[in-house]
Amino acid sequence: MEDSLLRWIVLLPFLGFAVNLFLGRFLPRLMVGVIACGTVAGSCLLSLFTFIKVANAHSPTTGSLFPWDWISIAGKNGFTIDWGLQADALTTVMLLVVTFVGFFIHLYSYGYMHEEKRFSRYFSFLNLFSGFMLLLVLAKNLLGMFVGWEGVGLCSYLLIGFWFDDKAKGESNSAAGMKAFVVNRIGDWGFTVGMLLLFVTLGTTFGIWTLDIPTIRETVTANADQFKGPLAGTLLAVTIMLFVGATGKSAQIPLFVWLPDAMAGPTPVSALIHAATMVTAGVYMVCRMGFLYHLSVGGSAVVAVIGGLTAIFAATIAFAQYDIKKVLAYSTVSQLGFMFLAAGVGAYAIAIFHVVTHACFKACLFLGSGSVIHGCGGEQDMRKMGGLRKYMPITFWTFVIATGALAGLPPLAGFFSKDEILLSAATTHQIPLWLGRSLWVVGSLAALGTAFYMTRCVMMTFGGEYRGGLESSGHGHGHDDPQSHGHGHGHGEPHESPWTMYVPLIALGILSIAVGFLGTPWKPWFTDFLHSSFEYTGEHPHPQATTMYTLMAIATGVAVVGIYGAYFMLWKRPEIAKGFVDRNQELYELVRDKYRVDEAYDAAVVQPLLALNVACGRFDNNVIDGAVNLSGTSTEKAAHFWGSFDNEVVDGAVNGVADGLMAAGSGVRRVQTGNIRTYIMLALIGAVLLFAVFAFVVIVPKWLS
Amino acid sequence: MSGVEKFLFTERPLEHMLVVSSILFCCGLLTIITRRNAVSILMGVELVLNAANLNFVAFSQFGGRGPDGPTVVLFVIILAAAEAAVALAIIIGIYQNFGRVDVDAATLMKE
Amino acid sequence: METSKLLVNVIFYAVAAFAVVSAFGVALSKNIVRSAFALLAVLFSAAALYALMKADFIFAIQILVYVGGILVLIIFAIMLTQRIVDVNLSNPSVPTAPAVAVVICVLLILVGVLLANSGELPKATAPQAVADKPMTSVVGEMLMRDYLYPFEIVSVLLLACLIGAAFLARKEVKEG
Repeated sequence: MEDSLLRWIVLLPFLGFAVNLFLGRFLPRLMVGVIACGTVAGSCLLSLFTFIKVANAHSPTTGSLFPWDWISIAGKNGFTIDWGLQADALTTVMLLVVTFVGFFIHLYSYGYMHEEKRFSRYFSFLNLFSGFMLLLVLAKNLLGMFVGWEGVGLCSYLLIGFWFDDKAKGESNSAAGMKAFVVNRIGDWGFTVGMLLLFVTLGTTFGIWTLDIPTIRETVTANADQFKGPLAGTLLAVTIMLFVGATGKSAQIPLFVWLPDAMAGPTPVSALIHAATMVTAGVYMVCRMGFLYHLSVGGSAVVAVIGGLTAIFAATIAFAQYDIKKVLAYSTVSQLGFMFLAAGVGAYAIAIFHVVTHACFKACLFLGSGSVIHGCGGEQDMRKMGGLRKYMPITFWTFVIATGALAGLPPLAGFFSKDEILLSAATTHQIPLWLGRSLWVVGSLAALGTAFYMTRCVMMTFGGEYRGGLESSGHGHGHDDPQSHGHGHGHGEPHESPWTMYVPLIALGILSIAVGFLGTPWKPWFTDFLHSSFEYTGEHPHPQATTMYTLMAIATGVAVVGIYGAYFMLWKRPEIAKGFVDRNQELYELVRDKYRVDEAYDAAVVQPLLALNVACGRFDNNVIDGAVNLSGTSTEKAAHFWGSFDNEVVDGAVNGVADGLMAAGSGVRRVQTGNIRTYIMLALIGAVLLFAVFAFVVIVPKWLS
Repeated sequence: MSGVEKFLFTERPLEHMLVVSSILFCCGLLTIITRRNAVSILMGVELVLNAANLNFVAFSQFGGRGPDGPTVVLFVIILAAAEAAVALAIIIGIYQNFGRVDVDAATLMKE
Repeated sequence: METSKLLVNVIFYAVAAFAVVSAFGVALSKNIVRSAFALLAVLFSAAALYALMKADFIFAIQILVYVGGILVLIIFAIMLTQRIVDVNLSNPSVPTAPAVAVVICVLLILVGVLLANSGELPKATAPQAVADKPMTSVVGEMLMRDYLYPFEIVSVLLLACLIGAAFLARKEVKEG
């Protein structure tokens, strides 16, 4: 099916970006906000239409961003890359997530960033991001997806470092932005290598030179035996390299280090980019190329193992964090690990389901934290919060609901998606069963940890009494809050946020409850809908009912234990936790310092690179400039030499000839004595000599003959 | 004694005369070259002229070309006389002006 | 007659030897007066040789002009330029040894050429002058006939020399 409106889903936000960038300064704030939110709302509507269309037709819609070709190479091995767009089931789900959540966050930002002086710039970046993300999701070929991929990385950098001019934290803000960009770049390298390797393999082996995803999918599934046989190694390499890109974008081990630092950006940015959309691009990509991972056991195993390890690793770090946004950041990393775990065990649809549910409750959590921070006058340290349930009830309740969803309490959304993930891991056909079962254990432990630290977070923030500095008077001097730029509000005590901020919270809270029911095991509408995108996985026998219910019970139990355990150890009897911490001080510090991964990277990679930089600089100075100077001085010396050569040798020769001639002349001159008798003598000598010559020439031969 | 007799009783051939005049000529050359006195040089010149005269006369005796030989000799003697007169006048003049007739010292015209 | 021939040869060789020795005396004598008198001896010998070669006119002229005129002049000049007694032979213009060597070479060349071509020299014949007339009249006739032009020029030349010599030798009264 052709759909000429498909491109407007992508182009509308870009239009908003352009208008706000160039004209935003002259427009009133309301106008800027309307343009920004309006374009995203338009995309949202169009996505809805597309969803309906695709759902009805049970087949994908295609379109193009621009009607012309991008790269076109003629010849026997020629190929064309166009600006094609495709919306199948998977795409439409992602479109809905991105545009819906995006719209709410745009609305939230309008209130949150009200004091910001670069208001229009912020919204233009936000729109730019939306445009790129939608392009990434809609792209029909890998290169188009890559354009979107890089574009969201750029916007992430721009938005993380948005407050680069902050007096206290400006430098660290921009450093965080740079860190995100650079680490993403490393991932992008992996993505590029994988993409090109796939391209070359298909071209040389099958003569099909293309980056068009449907074509690649057909070719690969049609020649599945070859990819399981002789080309297995190449396939493994392709899947792993593509996954490296995903680890960069979606913050898995080893490239997750940028996500916690990215919390330096404004909270809506963290919600949108680093919870709901950009970080899920990696998961989307893996699922989109799922047909490759389906054929490669090794690749899938790598994905699943990394996902599982990241899940538990990040969860443990979150135990010891005090910054509320950092807790949520590590939680995101952990949940992304779950998504990759699902993709790795072959449950692509489940992974996407978790993406959807996670987007809802994580965005709700982030926006809630933003509301908390706003209400506390910019304070982010949970130790200085507490008792906020009295001051911000709406925030409190939505936060609690979202936490329950995250922890996996039935019947909230997170329960269904997380439970499905663990079920798939335990009954997987994609990777060896023992590996799947081990990952089930790891995942369950991570879920336990998730419940634990989230409960801790809620208790510290909303429970007990307020410990912060905002009482009747005084201004808050926090870091994240836009109010710290310019003038403070001087509100006094912590307070609830404006309606533009709590309405999205309510909406997302409701979604956190409702969305889960889309994918229950009894009525799996969600996975059925996505089935058309993942036909290649084939039919697998449903797990037995007993297995299913057992695992469900275990998952529920894990969540409850986690929550109660946190309540008990941290609240009721805080001395237990304190004693544990005191006995294992080093372990506590290690975890609190995020296992010192950043420090390790710095020492192993960053410092050597900087040293190389300095060395190159010195090389340039000494060697290259030295060579240039050397050529200059040697030319100068050569010139001196030739000058003196010319002076002494050449002129010397000339002078020598002259002097010789003069000497000869003065020598010869002495013949001219003026004395006639000498002349007579010389004449006589001459005559004698002449006669002698004559004699020898004439007389002697005469005598001899 | 036949060789000596022959030698002594035949008329002298021309060569012997010419050898004598050659010797005289060379003596005259030697005088001209080696002497510093102007008058000595003049004497050398006279010797040379006399040698030439002897040659002329010798050839006229043996050549049979009429009285050409002696006539030329006559002219030579006349010219020698004229030349000697003038040369000696000059020498006297030089002696009166410079006080000496050393030809090596008479370098006034050299510069 | 052989005796007359013998006498002639003897006289010839004696006179020739005397001439040669005197010539050496002219060239090599350190005393200029001695070389002047050696020149006298040479001139007399030359005259004798002329006589032996049957050129009687020249014999007379030689004695009259050369000895009586030129040699006397030379002796006068020697007397008048007196301070030259102490001049010695060697002089820096031409060193003696090379000069002698060169002259000997010249002599050798002349004699060598002479002897090498001795076959082509004319043989002795009797001069006409002795047979017919005395040489004087023959020479006189030649002067007026074949050699008239040189004769006239020579007379002009003699006049010029006379005037010139007289002019050159006069005492400069004005300059001092």
